[in-house]
Amino acid sequence: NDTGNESGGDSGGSGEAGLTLSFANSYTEDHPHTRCGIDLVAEKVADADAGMTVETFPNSQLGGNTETFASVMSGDIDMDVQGSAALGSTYEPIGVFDAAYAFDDADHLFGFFDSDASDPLKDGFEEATDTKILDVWYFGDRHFTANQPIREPADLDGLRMRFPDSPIYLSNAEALGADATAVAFEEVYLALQQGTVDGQENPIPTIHSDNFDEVQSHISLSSHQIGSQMIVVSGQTWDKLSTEQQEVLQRAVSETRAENRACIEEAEAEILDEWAAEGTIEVVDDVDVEAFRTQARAYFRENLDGRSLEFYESFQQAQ
Amino acid sequence: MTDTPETSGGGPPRPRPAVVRWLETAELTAGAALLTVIFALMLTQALQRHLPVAGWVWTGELARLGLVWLTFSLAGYLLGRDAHITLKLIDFAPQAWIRRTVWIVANLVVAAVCLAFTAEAVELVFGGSPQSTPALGIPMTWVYVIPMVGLALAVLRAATNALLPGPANPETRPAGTDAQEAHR
Amino acid sequence: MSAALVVLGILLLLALRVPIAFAILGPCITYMAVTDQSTGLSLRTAAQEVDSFPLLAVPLFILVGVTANRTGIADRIFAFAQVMFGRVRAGLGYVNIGVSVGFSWMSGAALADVAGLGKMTVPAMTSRGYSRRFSLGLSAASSLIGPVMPPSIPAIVYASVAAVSTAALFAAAVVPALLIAGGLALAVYLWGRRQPHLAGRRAEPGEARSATLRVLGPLGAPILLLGGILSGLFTPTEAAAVGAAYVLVLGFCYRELTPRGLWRIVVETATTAAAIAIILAASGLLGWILAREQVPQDIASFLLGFTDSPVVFLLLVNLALILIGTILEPIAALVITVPVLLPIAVQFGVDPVHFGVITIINLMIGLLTPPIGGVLFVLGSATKTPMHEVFRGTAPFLVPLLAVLALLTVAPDLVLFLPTYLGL
Ligand code: NA
Ligand code: NA
Repeated sequence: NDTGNESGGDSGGSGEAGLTLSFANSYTEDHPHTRCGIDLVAEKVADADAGMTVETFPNSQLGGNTETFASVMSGDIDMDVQGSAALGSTYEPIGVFDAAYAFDDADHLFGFFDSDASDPLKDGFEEATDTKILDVWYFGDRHFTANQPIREPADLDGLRMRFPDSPIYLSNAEALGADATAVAFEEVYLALQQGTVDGQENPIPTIHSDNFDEVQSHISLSSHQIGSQMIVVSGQTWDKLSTEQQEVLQRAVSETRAENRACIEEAEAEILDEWAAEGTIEVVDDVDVEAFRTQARAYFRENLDGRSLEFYESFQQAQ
Repeated sequence: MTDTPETSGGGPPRPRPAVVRWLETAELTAGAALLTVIFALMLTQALQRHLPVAGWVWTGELARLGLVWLTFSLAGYLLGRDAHITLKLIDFAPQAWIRRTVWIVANLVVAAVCLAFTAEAVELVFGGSPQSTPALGIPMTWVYVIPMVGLALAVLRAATNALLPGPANPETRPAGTDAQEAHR
Repeated sequence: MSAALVVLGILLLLALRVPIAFAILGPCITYMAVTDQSTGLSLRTAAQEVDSFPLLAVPLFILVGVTANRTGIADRIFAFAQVMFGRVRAGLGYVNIGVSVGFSWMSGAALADVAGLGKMTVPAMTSRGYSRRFSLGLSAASSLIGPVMPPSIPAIVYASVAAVSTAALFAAAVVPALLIAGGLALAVYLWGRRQPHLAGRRAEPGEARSATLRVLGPLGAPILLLGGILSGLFTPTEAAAVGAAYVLVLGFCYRELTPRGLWRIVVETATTAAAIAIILAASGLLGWILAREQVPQDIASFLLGFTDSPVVFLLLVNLALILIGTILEPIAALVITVPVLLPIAVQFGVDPVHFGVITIINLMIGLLTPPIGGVLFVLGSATKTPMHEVFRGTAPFLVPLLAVLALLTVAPDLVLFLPTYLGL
């Protein structure tokens, strides 16, 4: 369905007034990825007055992750915010963005993405999916919560930890030395509360918005994963845009990256302050990150292969 | 399993040709197998957490796929038995020709809908999507094979229905004795 | 092509006896073609709606209900309820309600209850001098306890669509279900005062003992389900599988389950679940179209311009849902209306769990009213009674049901107190 007659080159689509792009994500309306993410892109595109508007569909209105990305590939949704792990089910190597300790922090992540070293990854992905990655946004670091502190790998012994059920997350569990167990996201709160599982891992805004802090005593700041979100646009859509419109869209997404990160970090700081003030959950900030990192990186060097291993190693060279 | 296994009631009493009986048995067997799979996987998921085995995280995903397949695998069987959940108000119409006309129109509409959906399924099966399921890595193109077959059978059943004289037992039909209704 | 045209098309096809799932799909597929969506998107969107973990509980709880019905568990509960409530005046009225409450812990749907129990309770009552109309009406009305009390198929669907906790919704519905039982019991009491000939009958001691022993097994089901969830042995969705396993084992122990009987149970469950699931899938596609056409936002701005009182809003919702419930199958109605109405309800400050319980009861009341009224049809056919006769018996019982609904609308604490107390 991507070989239609629309692909008649850049002359065909240029100057189309009133082109409307749909931009979806799976986050609630007050999540930073909506508020300081897709909404900001829509504003910037509107201000640029390039004969193009962005209509936003937050909160999985147009479907869950697997489904919306399929729609981006088929050109039914123009743009989407997607985690690397989810994209890994279409183009496996991109999943390593979500590998434990693949990056040190958001600067490292952005630095790699902006460098030439990321080109093979982007090109491979675009070729496999007929979509284009416009930029990467920061999603916050993932940390452990449990009813005890988790300061070093040995602290995970005997704990049933809930991890999302995609291959890279399960590798992360193994790399960190955790015992992964399956619980659908909808049932995590209850499973934690009733002790069906002992702990889980997620970024601070998710832990807060889903109230996991009510049912867990400790959050251990392991930062074992630098959460990233790819901003993808359908190849069919991209080809329809004029060169000017492409520039406007690219600029809107890239300029939003810094504001989006500031927004996430501000939200995280507020939540940590709130937890400290109300004592709902104890924040463990003396995690032996180096021990986890060494173990995880050794694991991935051993267990990744092919392009995934190449990419994983190129992350560390990009520092 | 020589005869079509009974669903609790509702089946039209008219005799069915052997090929239809055979297809119905196949559809029912598929449906029963999928239900059993969902049941077994959920039971496994509940138990395995308390057993000293490594965590299986794909049980939920396979069970969800089982529900997707169950949804489409019995569409034709239910059509053949007039056992989809349906507002059967028109069956109160005293004129036989009205009931007959509506029956034909309704089944042609269903046949058209199922045909369009079969075409969608064909595209999803043969369109070469690079996606696979997150946990098990099953190609998404395989996922739609069962829906494709189920919907294609539903086209045939709806088209055949339109040729038949009408719903079974028109006088008692509005009372909806179907098991399907009785347990929804 | 607008959303309004899609909805009109659906109503037309429903009137033309097109099965609900296909009546929804027809105009939706037309919309997708007219708006130039790619081939495959419709099926992907529909399939995605049922690709949901919480919804796995739907076929499993249907399995529990079908098994309980087919292995004589309903009879055991009936005998026990007779021992418990049979001794007072109009006692069989209370027995009727009691059976529904007992069975409701194993059944998630009204029509399951009324088909199985109606066949048993109506003849029992009429043969003992209760008027046929009263017996039918009470059996129909009390069948609403099944889908309100956990486990509840509508609650599972609501929790999935609204992304709230199934367990919280289950807990929230216990008090409302008991209030419905209480309201109906009050109606029986008021009616019974004018029926001096309906004396009760005290059970023989032997009879009482055997009925109690025979009900212990079925009584274990809710204890296992709730205990298992609350002690963290398994999650609510997994509990459905554990419950099904338990009831099947009971059936084997009671020697009520032959291989052929088991096959019938599996087939009945699979066909019933498939018939519901395809409606869910179709409704998912309609929901996608309504979201794309920004219908929820339009309705929200209309309503917010009209009132800012949550109670007025909920009363309007009650009215709209009862109307919708009279013509639409409850599961389809849930999947279509919840994505539209819930965000608005949240803007009005209504708790999603409270909203869920109210929505479910509203749509269930629609099962008792013409022109569609699924309970009226099923009870009518199970007891070989014309539908209008069933409705004449049911109509008076709408009064206590609507009174309970009104009470729950204005007093959210009645709904929210239990889930809050359990920390869900
Ligand atoms: Na129930
Ligand atoms: Na009853």
